[in-house]
Amino acid sequence: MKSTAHLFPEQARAALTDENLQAALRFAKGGFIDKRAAAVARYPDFETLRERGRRIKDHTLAHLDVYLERFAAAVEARGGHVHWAPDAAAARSILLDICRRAGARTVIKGKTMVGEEIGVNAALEEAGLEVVETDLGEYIIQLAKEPPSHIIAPAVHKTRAQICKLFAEHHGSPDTLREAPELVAEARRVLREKFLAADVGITGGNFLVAETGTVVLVTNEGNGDLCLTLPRVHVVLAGIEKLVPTLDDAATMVRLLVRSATGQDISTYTTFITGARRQDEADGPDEYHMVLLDNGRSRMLGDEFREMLRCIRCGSCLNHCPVYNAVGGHAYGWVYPGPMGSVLTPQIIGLDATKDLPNACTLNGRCQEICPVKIPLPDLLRRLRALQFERGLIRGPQCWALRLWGWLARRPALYHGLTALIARLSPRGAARRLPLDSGWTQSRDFPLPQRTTFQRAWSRQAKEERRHD
Amino acid sequence: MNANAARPRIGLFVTCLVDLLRPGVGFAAVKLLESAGCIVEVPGGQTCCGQPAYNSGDLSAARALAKQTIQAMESYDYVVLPSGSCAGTLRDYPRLLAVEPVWRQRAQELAERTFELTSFLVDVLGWDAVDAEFPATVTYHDSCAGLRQLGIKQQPRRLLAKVAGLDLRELRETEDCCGFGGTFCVKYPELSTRLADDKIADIEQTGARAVLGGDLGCLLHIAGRLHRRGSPVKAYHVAEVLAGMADQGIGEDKP
Amino acid sequence: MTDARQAILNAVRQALGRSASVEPAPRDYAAQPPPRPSWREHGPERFTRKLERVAGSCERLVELAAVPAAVLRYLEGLGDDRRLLVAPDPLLQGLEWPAALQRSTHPQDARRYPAAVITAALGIAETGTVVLPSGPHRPPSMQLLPDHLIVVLRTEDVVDYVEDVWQRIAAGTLPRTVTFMTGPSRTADIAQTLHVGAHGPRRLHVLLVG
Ligand code: SF4
Repeated sequence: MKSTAHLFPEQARAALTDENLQAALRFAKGGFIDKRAAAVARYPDFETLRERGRRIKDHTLAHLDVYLERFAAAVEARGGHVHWAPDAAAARSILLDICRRAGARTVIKGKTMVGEEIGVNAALEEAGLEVVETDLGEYIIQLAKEPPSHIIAPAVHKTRAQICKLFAEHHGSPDTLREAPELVAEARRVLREKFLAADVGITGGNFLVAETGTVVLVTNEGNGDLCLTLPRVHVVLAGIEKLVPTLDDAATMVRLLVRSATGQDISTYTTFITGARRQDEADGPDEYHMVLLDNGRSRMLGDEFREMLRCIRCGSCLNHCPVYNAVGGHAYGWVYPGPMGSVLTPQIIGLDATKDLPNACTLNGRCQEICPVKIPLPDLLRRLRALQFERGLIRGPQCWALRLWGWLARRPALYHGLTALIARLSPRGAARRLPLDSGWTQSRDFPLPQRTTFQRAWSRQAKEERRHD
Repeated sequence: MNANAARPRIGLFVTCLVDLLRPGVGFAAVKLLESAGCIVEVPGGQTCCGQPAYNSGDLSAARALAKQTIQAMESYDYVVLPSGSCAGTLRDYPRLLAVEPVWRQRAQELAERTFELTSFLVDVLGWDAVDAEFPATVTYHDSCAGLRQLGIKQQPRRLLAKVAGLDLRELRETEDCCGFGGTFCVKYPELSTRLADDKIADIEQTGARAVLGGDLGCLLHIAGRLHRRGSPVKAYHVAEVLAGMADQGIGEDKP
Repeated sequence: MTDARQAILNAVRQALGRSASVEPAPRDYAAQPPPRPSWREHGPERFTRKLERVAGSCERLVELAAVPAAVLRYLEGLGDDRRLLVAPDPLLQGLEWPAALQRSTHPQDARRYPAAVITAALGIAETGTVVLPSGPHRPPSMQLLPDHLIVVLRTEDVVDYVEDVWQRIAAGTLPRTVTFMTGPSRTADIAQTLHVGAHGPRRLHVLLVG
């Protein structure tokens, strides 16, 4: 997917005035937050669970080489093929190769964010394959020719009316405002045909279990299970950070994931895939492939962004982010939006093309508070800002103002003299306009000083008191 | 350190925003601390805690300001600030100075004695003998840094409960950010304003005549937006109300 | 392919500051079990309550022999269609099925038949989940394609927690897939409201025996 992250300010502004989008976002926000809160409140000790999740991931990351080797060996021992993709291009060509060799014409997909990251659909379609998304949300945005706007609810930005229109266009169904159950049934009918005809099924994997070579796949619709049951070939696409050591560890991670993502106690389908079809099985694909993607992850493992690799893609930080809730996911311009995206995107596609992302955050800290694996997202964003500063990527008048301020603040005597002078000369009340500024005053008045600074008034008062003593 | 002495010596870090734009908050803080039995001093070596630099990635400026602040404030029993986010920055100094062991140690010692005003009064001193009157319906905005980094939520409410005539009506979304965010508010003014408008809608539905808060940054932003919209709702720092020194709302010209 | 494998593993080792793999430290966090829900009722009761909360349904039967009649009743409640997939599981095949039912054991028929009956290896009380390992007795397409899925579960096979499943299905004997199914298929992708029957079964009915 081509990034438009460098257009964040324009895209965010446009999003703020997009009425459909605003209606959809307002509708979604409260629901996500309330459901998570209720699930967490029901749990006996969610804090301890979070801490355990953090430790499981930290432990795994600290031994990632070993766990990757064990995982791959276990998959191969059970008849699976393991492919290693250092970057997106490698992953695409591995997938193309698998499809070609299988003589595939139709590919069905479960929801995979890694798939979005490497741009699977475009690559396969270019090679003449038909690619069909089967997660209902992904299917909707595929019809709309849009990228996902949320990592677990890809079509969260679409209203029911918009979905009705899309279905009418693509399925030839009546162009009226129809109820959701009717739409769900229609999608089920259309997609069932696709499932039955597909040659290759591609899914993501939520967790990869090293001890057994098992992929854990969490879904609610059952589309993932159909993708890995009906076609002749099943391919799992996953980042190398998805490892956990044991099945028990996966249980902890799933508990964290579903509560954080949708407020469920467990997803409708939690499927554990271990290797290829056994000889005595009547059902299931003939070939099983596992594609492990690096794409910047090993670099993050070695630098100050390692903690980001704990991310289990629950989407909760998006749901709790005021900026995400105001502009939606598309404004961020690439696959991963919201707080996690603002950390991840610069890591994957570079600092230069993503200058706004780390800055488009108020550092309110709510994301860190709810992240199931305790990723210090605001801190990581601050680190990115420091990297930007170091590399001279932050420019413009605001940067100079800040530097000037920093310079002055390091000279207390001069600082106090100058601020007192400004306070004395300034008019009172609130300004509608300030010299050299439009950022504040285009929409807000600026409360002005009140004749004196505190420091000046305080030392005057102290002097008076001394005189009276 | 002399924490057990009858009258703790407080270094008041007044914060650059209060110093320049709202000196009354500083005097209110002094009054409250003195009523609670503290000796308050305001060292002249202080300016800004360095938060704008810290949050903008200018770490060398942030470190220099951190050291300056440590030097100015470390001789007191406690450092108290009328701001959750600046107090949070002082608490972050050890991390900021992590690579300089001697400074890190000094930062650590300072951080442990650093408190936001309402939390200092309630959590450290156990004081709530507020003597003030504010006969009005008000609402309270919890600033994010105070709320999440320092766990400030009940402290201002406990103190406000003692203010005669004051009727506190809570916002629906007490956890929502107001959209100030330091430099964020000038880098992304439309976004910031949208969040302010959401906050203001929430403030207005409570029927409050005034919004109170513990961080002048958020308050300037909310007050500035209220003012531009011509809203009658006024904004005050919580210390002003607690000290009985809340007359002119933030950004107001007349009482 | 092997080059890529080496490249990634080397990059990972370099990031971790070592040149060869070392045995992982013990998983010290695993010394205690994670915090988990607890309950007073019996496992099967909790199982039923949790399943019903996610729109699944459950019927208690005293013995296995009562299964065919219960299945027939369920189908009668749906209408006139008497086609039923019965999983090729000796436990089910050994039962006396009423002649009124038109039975099939072929996974191919899963595309056409409205209902299937299968067995669960285990149930999980924590979450109201049925555990469905794939294998000759339980072809996964039977549990995914029909609109109605009827699952036979014995009360003695209801375990407390997710982790307990892996005590009963040992790591070395894992089949290709183990599906934890908890309620009917659902989606919230249209305007964030919940609807059942997305791609998998529209209804999940558990016959809890014993
Ligand atoms: S950063 Fe945390 S909250 Fe955000 S998606 Fe990842 S795991 Fe979830």
